[in-house]
Amino acid sequence: MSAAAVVIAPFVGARALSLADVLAWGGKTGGARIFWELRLPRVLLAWFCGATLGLCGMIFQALFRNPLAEPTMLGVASGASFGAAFCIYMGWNVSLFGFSAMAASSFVGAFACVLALQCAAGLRPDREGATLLLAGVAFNFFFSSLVMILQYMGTYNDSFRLLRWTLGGIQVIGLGEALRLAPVFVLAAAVSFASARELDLLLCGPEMAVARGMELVRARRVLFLAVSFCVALSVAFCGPVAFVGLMVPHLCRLVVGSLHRNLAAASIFFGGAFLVLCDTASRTLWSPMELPVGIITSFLGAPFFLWLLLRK
Amino acid sequence: MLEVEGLCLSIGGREIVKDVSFRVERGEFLAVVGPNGAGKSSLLKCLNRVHPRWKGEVRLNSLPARRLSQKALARQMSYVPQSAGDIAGFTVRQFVEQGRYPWKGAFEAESAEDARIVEEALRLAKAEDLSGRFVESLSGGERQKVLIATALAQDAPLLLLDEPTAYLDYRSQAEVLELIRSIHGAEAPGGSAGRRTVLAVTHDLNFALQAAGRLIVLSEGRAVWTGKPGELVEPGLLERLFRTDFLRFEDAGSDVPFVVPAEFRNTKASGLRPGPAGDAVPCTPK
Repeated sequence: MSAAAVVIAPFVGARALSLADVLAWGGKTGGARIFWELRLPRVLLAWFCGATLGLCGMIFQALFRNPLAEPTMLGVASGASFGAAFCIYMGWNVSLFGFSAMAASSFVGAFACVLALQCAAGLRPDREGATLLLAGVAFNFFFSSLVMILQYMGTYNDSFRLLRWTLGGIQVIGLGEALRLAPVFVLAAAVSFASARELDLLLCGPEMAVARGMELVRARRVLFLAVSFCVALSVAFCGPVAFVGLMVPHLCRLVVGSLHRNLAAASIFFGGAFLVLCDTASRTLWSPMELPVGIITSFLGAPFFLWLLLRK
Repeated sequence: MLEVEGLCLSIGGREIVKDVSFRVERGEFLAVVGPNGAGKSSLLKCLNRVHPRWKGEVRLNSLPARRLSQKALARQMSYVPQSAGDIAGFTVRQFVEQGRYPWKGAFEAESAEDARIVEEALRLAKAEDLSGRFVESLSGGERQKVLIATALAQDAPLLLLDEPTAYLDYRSQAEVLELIRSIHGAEAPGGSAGRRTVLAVTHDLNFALQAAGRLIVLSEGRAVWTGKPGELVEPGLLERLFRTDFLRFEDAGSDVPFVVPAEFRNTKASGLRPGPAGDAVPCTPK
């Protein structure tokens, strides 16, 4: 399903493309350029982003033993939003090592938030998990208030640019962003498979995990920092795409069970395919207008969230 | 096998375990008994570092336990918690396989040897029939068997049991008692000759009296008495330790009594003679 989504999605859009259009290689025809320079990079970026968010959601749900945990909940998204808002407010428009100012600034905002959070949790090592979760919620509100201050002080144009960014979006030209996000996906996958047994143990509770031989505090810190790093970069490239990290692991768990080595593989393929399909819908359903992909994922995610809360 | 010297634990400024010292010999079954809040479970959790911030000295096979990594420690001692908590989503087989964790590297797959040890653990714990069921669908007694099977899959020579009969009905208590006796009687893993070493903490006096070879009584965090089960019949000792009166029932052919809190007795309905607090009541149940 995942491979089919990646293969078929670039042909679908405001202008349907045929194989002949695409194979008119040389980039001379409009169809080939749309395919190779716009749609394929976009589909690949969506796939890497969806797979990374799916894996990160899976890890967060095990890390906090909380079925409603998702990778952007601990201030990462609002930290990134603050970074983006600051960049817009300052009018920065430069490129740094191939990263746009907006992407670099939102990554710095997200990761600064993560490090501050880890320091706060480290002050209470006896109840690090709970402190991390609650401090994360507090950081979320704090950074959201900073974003609102910048929005209030900025121009209408700045406010609209920030609003547009917070809705998430995968508009790219060329393969640059997808190639930069690929190592992030590889890191998330490596961490997931290497820690699959630890994640299984974490689901059984800290007491059981330690008694089976897990270095709990170290494993938690490594997982939290690695996941947050991956999420921060995903958010920097695609904006805070909501609900993917929450929905994907739950749907996969219904199919493959709770064992994390299976769940990680399922989350990669389903997460990637899900965001590719949502992005294809976002640029096709209201064509020629495009909806931000975050709207589509939230539109599907909110009813799912309710179902999760209310199911027996 | 295990030496504990001057073990102290404080949580939130309150002393839970106070200067506790004892030894467990290889192949021994030692039970730590005491009332609720005596610090029994905390003592056990210090040994396997579920509580990491204790003071004192713990040695395993003459080596300081602090020098061992958590995985190395788990290869020496396995642990059966009071309950399986809210574990969900794993089949019994998948859950028992988690016991192999301290023996595996990050990307190392399960080997045929792991599968054999898991099968053996399920067989020893009499949980083979449960292996395809989900942990959340099990009864209390079945869960206890599965927790024991997971600890056995850890293949460690020392088995720590935290209140193994708590929350169980009488039939399940009897099954678990029999199971633990047979596990203690079985050969220790790792090629070491002799029986498995067991350290159990419990407030179930009859479980401790019937299963253990030696007892330590913990009261308000301190070890206040140690001896063999038969020596616990000393008049007034149990009453002082547990602050309640007991009736004792002798078992023909054994020096180990059964004990029942005197408050349990309905004097109108039973034919038992009420004895003065602390006195043994010679009575053989019919």
